[in-house]
Amino acid sequence: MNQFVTDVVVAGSGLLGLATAFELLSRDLDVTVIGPRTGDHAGQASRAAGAMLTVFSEVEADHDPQRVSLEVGERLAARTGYEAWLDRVGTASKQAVRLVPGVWVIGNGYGPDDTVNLRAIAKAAETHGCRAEFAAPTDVPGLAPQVRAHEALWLPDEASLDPVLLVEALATVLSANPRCRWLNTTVSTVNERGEHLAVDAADGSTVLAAHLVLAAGAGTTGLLAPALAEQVDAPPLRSGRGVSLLARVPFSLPAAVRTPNRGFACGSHMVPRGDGTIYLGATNRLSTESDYGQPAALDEIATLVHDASAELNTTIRGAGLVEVRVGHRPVTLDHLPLFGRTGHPMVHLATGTYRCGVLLAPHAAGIVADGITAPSSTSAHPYSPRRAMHLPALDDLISGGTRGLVDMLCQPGGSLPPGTREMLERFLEAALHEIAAGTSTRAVAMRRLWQRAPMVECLPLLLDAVGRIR
Amino acid sequence: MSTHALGRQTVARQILAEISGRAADTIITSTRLSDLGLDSLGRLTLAVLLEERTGRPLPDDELISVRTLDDLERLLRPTERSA
Repeated sequence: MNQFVTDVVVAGSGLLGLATAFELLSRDLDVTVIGPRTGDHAGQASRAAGAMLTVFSEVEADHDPQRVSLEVGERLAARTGYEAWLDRVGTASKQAVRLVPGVWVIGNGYGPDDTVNLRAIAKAAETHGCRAEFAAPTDVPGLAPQVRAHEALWLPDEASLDPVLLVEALATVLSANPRCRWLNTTVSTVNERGEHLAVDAADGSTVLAAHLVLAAGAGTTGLLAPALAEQVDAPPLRSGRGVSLLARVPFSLPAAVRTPNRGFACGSHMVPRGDGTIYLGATNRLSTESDYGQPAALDEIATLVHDASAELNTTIRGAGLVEVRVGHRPVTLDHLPLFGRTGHPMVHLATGTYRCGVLLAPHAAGIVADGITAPSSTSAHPYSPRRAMHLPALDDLISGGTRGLVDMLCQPGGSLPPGTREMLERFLEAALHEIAAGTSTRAVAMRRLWQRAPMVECLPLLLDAVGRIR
Repeated sequence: MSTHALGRQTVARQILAEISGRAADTIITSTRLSDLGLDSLGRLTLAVLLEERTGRPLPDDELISVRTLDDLERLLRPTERSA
């Protein structure tokens, strides 16, 4: 059996794990990364990500203003240092990762709240001293949809990149560093052993470490032995399963184009990847367990293609399919990330980034590394795993979420007769309230689901759960 | 094996058939829940229906290790013996 000793084990080989390892090495620590280096990386969020650096365009008009202020502030801090960080990675790896400046956000009739959401996005940018420029949809390069966009917003301070190239550049840097060991396997369990953490890997090796950074997405906390998990006391993690694809298209796309968020997901978006290839994203379905092995369903791919051709560019229907990807975005119950020291002083988290993992990776790395090298510096950070979480009641979420449910059911292109949209919203709200308060099997399923995932993304699953019990 | 135990095994198989839309006699003990297309919501539905029909509580942490019908039937057995 192989046994190694290291300063820090990083569990996970997605962008959060690799960025954290890169940062820790720069602070003169020995690092062991445990995570797949090769293989298909099934379920890994980083490789399935659109990788738009969305500081503002994830803002929704009905988000709590305090949450918007906090999240935009943290994302802006991440964005401000991003070019310099990419330069460091590029210099060290000799592999330049190009940042494509700007993101277009378009509004059309498919999103009933697009107008108000575009204004909320523009306001968030202007509040933070950044530009947000309204323009005519005809000014948006690559936009040629079936349904006409009525306005467009240019966000020059957002950007996009190819996350696969970034992962490869970081992997090159880490592999070449003599102070970094990379075990091309997975963590099977972690226990305390004396003054160390004993990290057992699936290949039979054991690594003794002074610190452990868990950056393995939604499966992160399941890696700990029960006694250690109790001390770590990590908040629950769920995942937003996303299907995305790469396609070769017959039009030029100089910058990413997206809709605002829609129906519990991030809307439709196309992101340039170079060589005439674009990324199309993405679905979002809450998973209450990590089922990383589930391949993309044809329905998920059909949804992507339909929405993108209806809202972004009709020629996408004839594009050549290059690849389909499935990623599980780790998400907490309060939607904020988990960065830094846990209830156990040797265990740290770098996860929970949901749809902003690529943007937040270097920022997370700094916070997590500070928690190791300057332990008291980050304990009060709002993304600390030890924060209190205020979770909504089921009835409140049903009342506030049925509009989104109807959005989701209609999808782009689906239309209801005048006046019936509100009727359907009210009916769904009443029906879900009635079922939730009852004693039927459906009510039991609904409440159990809610206990497992008390968050707004649970609403489509509630509808689905009720329908599955016949 | 008691008739009671056999009955519960049948219940597990029947529920899996209901949820997956597959005929019960095509689901064998080594059939994986994922091969039946059960996602996380399907597994939750399975737990709720099993609790309702067997009266045995099935908390999430017990169900998480279940991969096959055989695992599921093993999970149900100890309660039957102690009942």
